[in-house]
Parts: sequence; structure tokens; C-alpha cells
Amino acid sequence: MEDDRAARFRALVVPQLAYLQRMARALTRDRSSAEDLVQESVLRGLRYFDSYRGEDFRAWMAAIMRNLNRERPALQTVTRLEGEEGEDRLAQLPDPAPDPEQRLLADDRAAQLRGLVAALPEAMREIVVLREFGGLSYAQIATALSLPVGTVMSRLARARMQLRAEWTAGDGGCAS
Amino acid sequence: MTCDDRIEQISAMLDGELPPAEMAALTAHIASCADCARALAELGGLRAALAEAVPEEPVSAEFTARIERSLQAVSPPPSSGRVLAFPSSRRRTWLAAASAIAAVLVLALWPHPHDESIDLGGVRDAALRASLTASAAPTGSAIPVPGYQLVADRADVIAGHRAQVLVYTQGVERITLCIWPAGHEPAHAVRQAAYRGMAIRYWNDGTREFWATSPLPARGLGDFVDAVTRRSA
Repeated sequence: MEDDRAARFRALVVPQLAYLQRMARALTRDRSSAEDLVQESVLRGLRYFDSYRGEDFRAWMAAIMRNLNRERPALQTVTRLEGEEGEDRLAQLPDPAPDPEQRLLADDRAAQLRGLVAALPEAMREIVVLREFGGLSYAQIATALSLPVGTVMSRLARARMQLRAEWTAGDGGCAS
Repeated sequence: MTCDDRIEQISAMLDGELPPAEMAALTAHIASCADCARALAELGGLRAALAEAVPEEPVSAEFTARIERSLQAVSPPPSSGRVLAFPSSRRRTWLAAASAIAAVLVLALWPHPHDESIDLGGVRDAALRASLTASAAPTGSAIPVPGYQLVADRADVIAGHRAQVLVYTQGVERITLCIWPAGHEPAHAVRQAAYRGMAIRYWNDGTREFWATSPLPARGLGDFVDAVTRRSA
């Protein structure tokens, strides 16, 4: 029955919204684009729900989001650098800030790191996003991207090494 | 195997994805290799910075309601066969409000089974990493625990949580304490577990989750937890 199908989909997708939202924020240029990407992913998920065979649902939805994002080059973040979220980001600053200077500095560093992730080659960026922001295991990422687990592992390590080198070179430093 | 080759293993170790057999060999190597110990600390720091760059956020009720509305729009509930009147603006308002309330209820009531084995594994792996990166830069906000010496203080990502990892010693006893924001997890008293050779005690004060662990047999872990709970209360 149609309503049963939609209800089952809703029951599966609602608990995943936080993960989908975070992945979308890492894949797109601003909050509005991220919300659009989540909504379109959810709708496409419902449309193709008949093809869902009980595999890991978050990985299944992550694959849909990844494919949608690839199809929408205009919405992809290629050069997301500091300040691009503009008012949206300023609105998130606490008021009154305990130490505004430090807060802005941390904000700049976070934006710089997001820019470095955005500038990664697509095949690396997708794996970093699925792992760091989607919380997917290597096996789930392998399922979502149709890759061998070994490729996920090596590609993720290479991406991290590249980020580490650029992050350190940019005077970002590492926290630990 | 060269140190460059081991980067892949170190990366997998941070994710808790390294098989136990490889983990043992890698930890033995890192303990005697400054370059690999530095790589572990820097990659751990990178993960922590990434966690802050795109922080976890709760899904707003408005956004959930938007998703629910879009799902309903493409998959309307089945009618009983009769023609429904076009909803009046008042009815549309009511439907939107009901949809938002339903979305909030779904979020609030939906059972989110918390798989503690993931956290147990993450804490256990963090304790192993902590023993290898004792010289890492401190976060600067360690909890002093009377009778115990703080020997390491660093940021890490454990089972998806942005965590502070503290290592204390007392004599030969070595205890790792991991702390992260409680999020939506409810407060609870101290619980006990054992995971792959480690004793773990964990509790939630409503604001933060605390996970203390030491290798079995953990004779002094209970005393340590008592000291921390007194201190952080």
C-alpha cells in the first residue's frame, strides 16, 4: 500500500536527518543549499524506495545524496573559503561573545578547513565527508560508493595526509 | 613496511577500523617511532578540527516539518474515495501546525537506540592512542583529580564525539578519562563494563558523558571514578 510504503520510508529517514544535514553542509556552500540537498535527497529516496532491499539505510541515503550532488554542479562547493556563509555564520556567533577576537579566529580557521575539504579532488572529498560528517564506517562507505573497502581506507588516508599538510602549512596547526 | 606505508593503518586506527592483530603491531611500532607518533597526534588533531568545522547540530523542528510536508506532497495519505474540499487558509494553517507538532513528536519520541558497544570500543581505542601521544599539546581544561597525576591531555574524536582525553596515573595504575558533551543522552549514574581487556566505567551528569577506563584487572578504577564525580559535581 502506498501509505504503508511512505510511512516505512519516513520511519527510516527521520532518524537520519541530522547525519544527512551535516553531510550536506559539508558538501554545499551554505545552509540553504544544504537544506535543499537534503530535501531533494529525501524525495529521491522515497521515489526509489522500492529498490531499497534492506541494506544499511544511512549508506543508501548517502549514495543518493552523493549522486544528486554530483548532478548539481551549480550547487557544489568548489571554492568555499572563509566568509562565504556571510550573515548566516555571523548569526551563529554567541551574543555577548566571551572573547569575540578568539571566536572570530576560530571561525576563520574552521572556514579555512572547510575550504581545504571543498578543494579536495571529488573522489577524496566524498569519502572524507561520509566518514567525518556522516559517521559511516568503511564498509558503509564502500557500499555507498560501490568501492572495495581497501580503496576507501587508502583514499581516506591520502585525503587526510593532504589535508594535514595543507592545514599545517596554512598555520592552522593541529589541536592535539 | 615503511612509516609512509603505516599512515594508512594510523588513519584506520583513528577510525577504530584496524584489525586487532594489526593494531598490536602498529602500537608497538608507534611506541618507538617519533614520526609515526607525531602523525597519529596530528591526524587525531585534524579529525578534531574537522568535527568543529562542521559541528553536529540538532535538526530544527521547522526543517523536519518542511521535509514532512514535501513527503506528504508527493505521497498524500489515501483518501476514502470521496472528493475532499480544497483546504481553506485556516485549515492549511492548522495542517501546517499539526505537521510541525507531529514532526517534533516524531523527533522526541522516536527511539534512538544508543549502541554503547560503539562508545566502548571508541573509548578503549582512545586509551590505546592516549598511551602513545602522552606528549601532545594539552587542551588546558583538565579536571584535577586528588591523588592522581595528570600525564596527558588532548582533543580527540571518539565514536563521532568531539572529546577531551585525559590520562592519569597513580603508581602503576594508568587511567584514561574521555569526556564529551552529553547531547540528547539522558543523565545516568555510574555503569560498569569490560571491553577487550579494558575495564570501563561511564556516567552522564546531564551535560557531559564521562568514560573512565584502565586495563584489567582495574583495582583502583572505582576510587578514581569516586574522586572524579566528587570533583566534577
